[in-house]
Amino acid sequence: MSEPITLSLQPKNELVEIVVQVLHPMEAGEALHPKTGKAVPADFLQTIAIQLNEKTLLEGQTGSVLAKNPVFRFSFKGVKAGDKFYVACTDSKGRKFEQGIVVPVFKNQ
Amino acid sequence: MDRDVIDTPVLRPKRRQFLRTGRNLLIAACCSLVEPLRAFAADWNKPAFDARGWEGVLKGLNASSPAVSKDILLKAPAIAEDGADVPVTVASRIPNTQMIAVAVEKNTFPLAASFTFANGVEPEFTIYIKMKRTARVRVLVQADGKHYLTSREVKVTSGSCSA
Repeated sequence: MSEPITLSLQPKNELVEIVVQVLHPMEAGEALHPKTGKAVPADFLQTIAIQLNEKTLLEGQTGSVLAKNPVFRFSFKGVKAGDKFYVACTDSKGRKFEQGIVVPVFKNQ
Repeated sequence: MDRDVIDTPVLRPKRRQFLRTGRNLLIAACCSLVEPLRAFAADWNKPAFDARGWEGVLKGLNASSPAVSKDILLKAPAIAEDGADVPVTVASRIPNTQMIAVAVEKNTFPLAASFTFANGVEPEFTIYIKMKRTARVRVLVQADGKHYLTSREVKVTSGSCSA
């Protein structure tokens, strides 16, 4: 399976915004399957961590309240072209997803 | 030809040895994959995320009596048409903000997310949450060991049943 995380970067004043989208069902374990009537097992993201050039900028913990296929937006200062972002997530089933992106040269800067 | 006789350890010792080595290498490879994962992420705060009320969330986050603050910016729609995907933007102007958590009051499990920021990192983010019905969205900030709070009501016209 290819990694379900997509990353995109855009300049936002003097900051750089990273948009993280994770393809994930974010099931709370409370819903019933419409056809079988059985409970859909819990399956949601629990942690997200963002590193810039191998230094951790932030660590997050998440619950099933996040929307399906959750999107996160964060902004960081002092980000230069050539810097490397690395994002890692884990979910309630113990799976790990990761993705990296190199900061490009933004136009009009 | 009888396969069982041929595959006995006595008759094919090299094959047994080969299989055993392969199995042990596989186990070692799996263990080495699991280890860095644990080192990287802090333990998921199960008491806070499993709490079924705001008081339980506060307890889980070790936040007693937070003070209401005007220095926390909370942007959320006044009316959300789709409770399954409500954008929430938070920014803290409180110096030395270390942690920000977002919770939805009337959801079965209120706590949506908490973020811990390294020194000097902008304490702001946007997330998208599920809301069961009209409720207050609450934001808790930890700065210099103290806790601060702000909240905002979001009217939900079509709720998310799985929140």
